[in-house]
Amino acid sequence: MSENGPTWQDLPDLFKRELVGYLDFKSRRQLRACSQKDKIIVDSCPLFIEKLAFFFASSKDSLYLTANTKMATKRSFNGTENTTLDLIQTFIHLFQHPKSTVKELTMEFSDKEKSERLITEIDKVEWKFKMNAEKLIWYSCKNNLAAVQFVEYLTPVMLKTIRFEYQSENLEMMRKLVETDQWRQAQNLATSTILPAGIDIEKFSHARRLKIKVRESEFDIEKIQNVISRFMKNDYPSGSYFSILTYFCRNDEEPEADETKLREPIVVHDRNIAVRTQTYFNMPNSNNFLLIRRSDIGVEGLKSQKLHFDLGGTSVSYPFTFFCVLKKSPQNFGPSSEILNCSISIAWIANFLLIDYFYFAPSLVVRIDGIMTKWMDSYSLYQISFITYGFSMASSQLIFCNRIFLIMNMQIFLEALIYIFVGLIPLSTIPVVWEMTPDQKKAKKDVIEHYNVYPDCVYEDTSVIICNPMNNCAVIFAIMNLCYIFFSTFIMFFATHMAYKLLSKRMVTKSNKTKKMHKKFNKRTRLFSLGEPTERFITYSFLILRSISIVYENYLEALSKQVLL
Amino acid sequence: MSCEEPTTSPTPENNITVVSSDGKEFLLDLKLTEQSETLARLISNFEYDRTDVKKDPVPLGNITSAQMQKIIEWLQHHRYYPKWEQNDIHYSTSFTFETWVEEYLNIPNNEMFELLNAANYLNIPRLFSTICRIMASRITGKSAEQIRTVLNIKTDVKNDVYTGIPIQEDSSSSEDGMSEISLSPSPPPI
Repeated sequence: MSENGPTWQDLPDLFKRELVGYLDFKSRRQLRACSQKDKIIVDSCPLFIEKLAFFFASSKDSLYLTANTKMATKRSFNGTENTTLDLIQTFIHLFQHPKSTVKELTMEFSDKEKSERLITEIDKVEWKFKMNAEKLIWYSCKNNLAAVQFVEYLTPVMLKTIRFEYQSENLEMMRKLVETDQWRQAQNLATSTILPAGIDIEKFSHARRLKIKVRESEFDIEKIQNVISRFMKNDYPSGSYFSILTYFCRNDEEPEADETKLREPIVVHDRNIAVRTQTYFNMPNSNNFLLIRRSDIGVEGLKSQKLHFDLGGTSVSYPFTFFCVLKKSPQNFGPSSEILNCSISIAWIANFLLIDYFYFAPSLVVRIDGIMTKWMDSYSLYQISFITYGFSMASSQLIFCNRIFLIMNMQIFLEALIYIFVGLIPLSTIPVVWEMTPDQKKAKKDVIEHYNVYPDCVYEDTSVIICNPMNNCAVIFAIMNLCYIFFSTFIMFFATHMAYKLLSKRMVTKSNKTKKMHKKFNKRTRLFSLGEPTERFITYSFLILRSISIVYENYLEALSKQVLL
Repeated sequence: MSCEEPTTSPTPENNITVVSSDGKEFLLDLKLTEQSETLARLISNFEYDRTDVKKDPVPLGNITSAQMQKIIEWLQHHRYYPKWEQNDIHYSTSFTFETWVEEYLNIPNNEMFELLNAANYLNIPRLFSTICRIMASRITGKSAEQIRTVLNIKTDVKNDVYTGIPIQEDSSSSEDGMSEISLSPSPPPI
């Protein structure tokens, strides 16, 4: 290539602009200082700043800049070296290019005079001054209308978040701020200080992420109902929230009256949201739900996505396995095969077609599905389901014992004893479950009031609370079930193992086909004896773990109280 | 086939001939020309991708044979690379390159600028963008004076157009004028 090639000055502007795009803020400024032409090139490139903060204080002003998170270049212009005017000029020229964008802009207007000076300087610029900022963190002193004027220079479409803090309450300034386009279009609004008395909460209702604090006297139930209704109507995406909390101010008059006002129930869609409760609302047009939690100091709502665990497959596969294993069995069962058929039919029809229950582990809530829900209440169906389950399990286990007795020679007395024992174990669950199932209305109320997490179907008639939520009944229920599972699994597994062993001795004279059939049957039965207990074991283990965690939390709470005392 | 060895045994059906400004002919595989938007558009307009169309040599008056040789080397290396897509440059300020690219572009500035002009003329976005990044990496973190030396810029700066005062160079190399975020005055709690 030639030795006297093109120089930097000869290169196309397109190249120089792209190169500037790769430079960090510091290097841009250096290149800008190289020549007039380079200055024009750099100024014609939009600037992308991660964080920009401008603090006007009576003593010293500062401008902080983080150009890019990756490059971690931080730049600060200190008020001791630069005059306020220098800083204002620097700030203004950062936005010279209409596409220059700041991700997070922090402005502190603690000095009224300097704030007004900034606005004057902005008004002087020859181009149409607009700032593109995605998030504005805004501090202001009292009666600083220049601070509100500044917000009006931000591009409303770009501004997604406004976090406003002010050193003292200021109704007039706040009223002006909520009337700006920037405010009305911002999706996220937040404050960490208390809103001044007299500000309309409904002016915040357009936000999909809202976090405000109001005086107790300003907690207007009717207006909050409107905010919540609008929040629900807009059907915001999952992750949207609102938080309206109250704080008692010493100079508030009639605190007692406010206390009563604060405890008034919020009514949304004909549902009462009382204090210290939480309520779920299904969103009609999406797969979301809104959880509203009411505490002593306010109301909060969070929109979340529903989680679906479709266990439809198991409700089909489980009875089908049941059928295959037991129905396709060797013919030497004799009359007991009739009982077996009956047991299979009852269990399958009852558990799959008529009453299919959906357990929300590790909660205490069961949802009853199936055809029968059209004609009967879920509480009765839950009981029927357990009765049929108890009978079908008892009959299945009797069949297993019957198989062993066909092979083994035992005394009649011993056989009868085993039959009674094996039959009674599953049947005994029926009265226990009957006794444990609490009064549904009261139990549901307790779950809603005292539990942090529960499935939203608790509000529906098809749900059943399986045991009293206010005592340790859940643990007893789970332990009892686990014991039963281990016991019945052991019986089934042991019975099939014994049957196989004994049969193999007698099978010496039988044909190969019969031997094979018996072997297959035993394998299937063992598999079946493990399948169902595994499922139940997981479910009840969840329940026990949750109960243990609650007990542990209570213990820690008690311990902390003791320490405090 | 020309005197140069640009492609891997191209057949007359799937190649075109380009002529550099100094009259040298290069036989280019059609697959390689896909990386150059200028050549790809020309081939498409003249239907040079059809076997029954007579392909005249394409004169490239702005590109010398040395530049063309270098360009072909780039095209050959990136033959099987996916189509170039311009990323959002504002957040991709990483200056890491393949070893091959570093060696390929380890050339003096004047040669780099010639190559850049050629890449611009032929519209090869991957090469153009890579040269931009390489040049940006050469001046990042340098003071204005150092940048002037690296890029051979003659200064004409007198006064700042906005403030009217002479432009103060940021002495970035010595961190004196560049204080890290200080907390004075203390910002209000965020």
